[in-house]
Amino acid sequence: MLTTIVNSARGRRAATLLALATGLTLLLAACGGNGGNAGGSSASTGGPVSKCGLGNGKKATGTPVKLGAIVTKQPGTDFTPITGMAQAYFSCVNDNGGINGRPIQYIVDQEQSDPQQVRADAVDLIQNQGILAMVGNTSLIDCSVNNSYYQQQGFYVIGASIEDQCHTSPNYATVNMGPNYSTQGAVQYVVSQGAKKVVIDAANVPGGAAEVHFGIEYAQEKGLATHLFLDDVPITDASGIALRDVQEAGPNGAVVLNFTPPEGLKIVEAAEQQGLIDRVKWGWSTPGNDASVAQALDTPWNGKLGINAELSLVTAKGPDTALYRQVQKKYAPSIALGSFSEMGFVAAEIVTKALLQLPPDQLTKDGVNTAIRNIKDFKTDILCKPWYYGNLPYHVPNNTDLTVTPVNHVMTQKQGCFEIAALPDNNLAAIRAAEVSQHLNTA
Amino acid sequence: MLGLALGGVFAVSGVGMVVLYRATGVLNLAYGAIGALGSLIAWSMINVFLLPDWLSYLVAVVFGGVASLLYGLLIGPPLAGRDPLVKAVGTLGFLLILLGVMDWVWTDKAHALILPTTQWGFQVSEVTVNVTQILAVGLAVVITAVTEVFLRVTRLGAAMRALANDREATAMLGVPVRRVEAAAWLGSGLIAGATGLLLSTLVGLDAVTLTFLVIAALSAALVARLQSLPVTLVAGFVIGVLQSLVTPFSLVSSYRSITPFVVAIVALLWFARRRPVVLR
Amino acid sequence: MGAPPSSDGSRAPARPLPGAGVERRTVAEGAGVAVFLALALFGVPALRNGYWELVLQTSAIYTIVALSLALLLGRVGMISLGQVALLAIGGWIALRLGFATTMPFLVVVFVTGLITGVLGTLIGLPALRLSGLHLALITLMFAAAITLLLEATQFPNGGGGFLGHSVLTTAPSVLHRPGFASDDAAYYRLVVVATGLMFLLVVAHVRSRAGRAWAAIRQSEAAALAAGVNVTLYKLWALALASFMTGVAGGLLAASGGGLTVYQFPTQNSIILLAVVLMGGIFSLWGPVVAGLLFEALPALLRTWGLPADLLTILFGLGVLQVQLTAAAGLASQVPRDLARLARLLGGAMGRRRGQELPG
Repeated sequence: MLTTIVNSARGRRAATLLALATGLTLLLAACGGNGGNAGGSSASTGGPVSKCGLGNGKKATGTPVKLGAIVTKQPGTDFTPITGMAQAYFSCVNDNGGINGRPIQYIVDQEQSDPQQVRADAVDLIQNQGILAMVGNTSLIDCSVNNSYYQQQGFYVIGASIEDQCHTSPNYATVNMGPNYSTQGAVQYVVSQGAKKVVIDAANVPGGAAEVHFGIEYAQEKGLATHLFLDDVPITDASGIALRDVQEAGPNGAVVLNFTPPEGLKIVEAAEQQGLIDRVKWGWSTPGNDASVAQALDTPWNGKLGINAELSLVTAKGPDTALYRQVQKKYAPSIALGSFSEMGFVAAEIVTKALLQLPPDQLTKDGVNTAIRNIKDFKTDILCKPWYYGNLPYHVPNNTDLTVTPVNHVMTQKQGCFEIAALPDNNLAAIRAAEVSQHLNTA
Repeated sequence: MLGLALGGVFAVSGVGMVVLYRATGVLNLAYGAIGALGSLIAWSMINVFLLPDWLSYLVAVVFGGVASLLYGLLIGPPLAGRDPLVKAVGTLGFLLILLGVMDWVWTDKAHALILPTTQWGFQVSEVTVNVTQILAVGLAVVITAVTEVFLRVTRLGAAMRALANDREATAMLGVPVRRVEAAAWLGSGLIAGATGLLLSTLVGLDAVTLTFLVIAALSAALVARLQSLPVTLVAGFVIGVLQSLVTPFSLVSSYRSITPFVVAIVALLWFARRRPVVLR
Repeated sequence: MGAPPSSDGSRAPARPLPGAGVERRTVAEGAGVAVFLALALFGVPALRNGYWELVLQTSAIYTIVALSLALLLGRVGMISLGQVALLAIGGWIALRLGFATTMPFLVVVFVTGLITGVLGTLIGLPALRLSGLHLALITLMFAAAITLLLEATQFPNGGGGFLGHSVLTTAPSVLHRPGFASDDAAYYRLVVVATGLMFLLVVAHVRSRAGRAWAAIRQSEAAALAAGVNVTLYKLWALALASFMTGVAGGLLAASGGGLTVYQFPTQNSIILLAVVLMGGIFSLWGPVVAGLLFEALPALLRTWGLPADLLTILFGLGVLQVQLTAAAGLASQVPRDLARLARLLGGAMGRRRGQELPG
């Protein structure tokens, strides 16, 4: 009996190993593919292209400059395209002279909304790994869990935001404006299209309701009726949800979604299946600005889904956007072109520029974080206005954005840069005043 | 309609699990994970290796059968004489292995697998019904009927029913127990593969969701006391519709997903009401 | 199927039954416990590594949960696949009490334990008639339902109403730490002491009347009934004790690290907890310690090595199968025994053999 057991257990293990090996091959095949040249001098067709870092084509050696990030990756919520693209840009920088010869080492911790883990990760990165700066942090809870720790350690984080807490800390500035301001932007779009009632449907994640309340506030300021639905992710009943949203909005109503691409896609696809596209105006906050969404939506959706975009279209002409496409093609072909990866790209670009301007002896924790805090007037064609960090009690440096829409499987611009309206609760009036008085983006 | 479709999938899963439980005494809690892994393999075949769709779907279904059979052959016999609980906990181990493999290989990234039947739809008053949904309902009825007939009419089916009653006695009567059990593992696995494909289209291709959704589907089987196939079928539909019915009411909408679990808990307690301590 | 097998998911090992082993603690083992406690209390903070302090703090809290599951499974023979869900309930109650009252921290945690104990017993009451597979299923369904329910209600964060949740705050809910343990090192020590107290509580119970009654129930419920053991009472007692400890763990977790989110208690964690408890061993008191480390510290170790945590899920799955196939008594018993056997081999097999072969 004993032998049988041992054999079968070993057999099982062998079978597992085989399955693993097969899986690994699949994975490698999925990640394969190369080509394209990024960061080099030879620009591809169509307009100028920026360079990665020094852009001298020399491989960086020597002691690495360590940077870190904490990013959420769990079923239904995956922000790793942001850190993945930041990593791609850093790789490109390392192939082009690094930080004055020193390569960047980027340490990314993935988390699953477990506060104990997120707290421990920050301590590990800063105390054990000895990172000099936090760049590309995108987490459902990092801002609120670690805000006091970052303040205590003197870290000035450049991240992408989900929670409001990322916008109410002196130690956190983001390249995007976050779902709350972005949903407001999507609501501003559907209101401009003549919607008489606004239904907001958002993911039921921690703070899911909080992250859309500026949108509700804006609609109410305009005297419109509103309704909020929170749905569990991953969504298992998209058809029922789409029907419910449309029925609640009624004639001349609008439905504004706040979901990550795969989840929101389930709802809009279900709406198409049930013929609900023309019953209401459709809006979606930034996450919807993703190539996968444009790819998945068929022609009935042409021009009918207004997606708020906090960054330029991935197909835009500017030199930074062109570099972004090249870097994606060469260093991160498995990451989709879209808002998320653009955010990681911009964050990496901003910190690289700050690091390059520092004298070598200033490449310390204090030196780097002071330099980050002093960033102002960082110009890139990926953002509507220049980016800054500044000495502020709260940060929303990106507060002007655009609306895009899928047309024939391609994301197309629908509305040019417009300001997110200042509301009593959203700090934008004070922030715009500080921009002027501190000359943050008006050099 | 989606309620009926979802109910149909609950019912099919329930039927697959009941057949296996009756023949082998194993409640396969890894059932959903098997289907999910099959669907992910199909996804990779279509999107990474650019193979024809029909072949990928076929592989997904066959994979379900093979994975289930392998587990049945390797782990089944050593645990055969043990308590049903030990066997079920063993499948939890299998579930964790499959879940780990899926998370590792396919990551949490979004995958979508839309059966071609989803594009064919027609209008019924307010809503559009697509063929996948009809397929789910039809498959539930057909599989239940075919399995029921199979168990009643064929020799293999009779052997399976006999096994359900008494394994030792059936073995003594000269029934090739292992072969009959293997057939049950294979059959139930094939159903798991097909269910996985349907579920990936109806609710989305996500490893964790699919793995635990079928634990929800277990509620249909529990209402049938893990015995009756027709009761499983009806219970599946009722639960699916019940869950769908509460969706439009915003007050309880957020709580709708717990419907199957509540049904299962009530059913378990109801049956326990008049059963004394079980010593088996 | 002659002898009544235990319904705990694992065949009893061929060795003295639980309870008896505790009484025969040798001086060496006592010293081992003392050294371990001293290391945990003073050695870890002395390393001045904030990361591992935080990781071990969470490990200690999950050790309490593992202990409660091992108590049910190993001593009484009751399975629970919903222990992590119960932990979440404990966290909810602690936060609710913390935001609604001004009770000191330790009182909040203790009262949380009591309320969770009552709740756990009430939930378990109707399930008492179930055993084996059906008990496993109903606890699994319960865990799944609680997970979904929590996603709808969220944790209290100082809002109004019965649920105490304000949708306008996105942050995880944090329970205020007591003044004497506000920094991480002090709170870590507090958690270690609390974990030690829980072990004492279990040892005291196992050595008492209750422990003997549980051992009888575990052997055979019918025989225990015939011998005049009040089966219902002692089963409820075990449920209450296990739920109390899990509730205390929930309270401690709510004040640790960055607080609580509903996402950290997915259904599969209840299954993984069962896996690590089985791997650690349900008969030895060291088992839950090993389980707590497997559950929290091993993933952290893998992360620092840059290995994917998904590998652990696979490892735990294999561990469950191994325990089920070989009816192994878990790492906590197996490793010392294997070491002892190795020592005997090295020592020329001069000691008398004690018939402690691998079961199976």
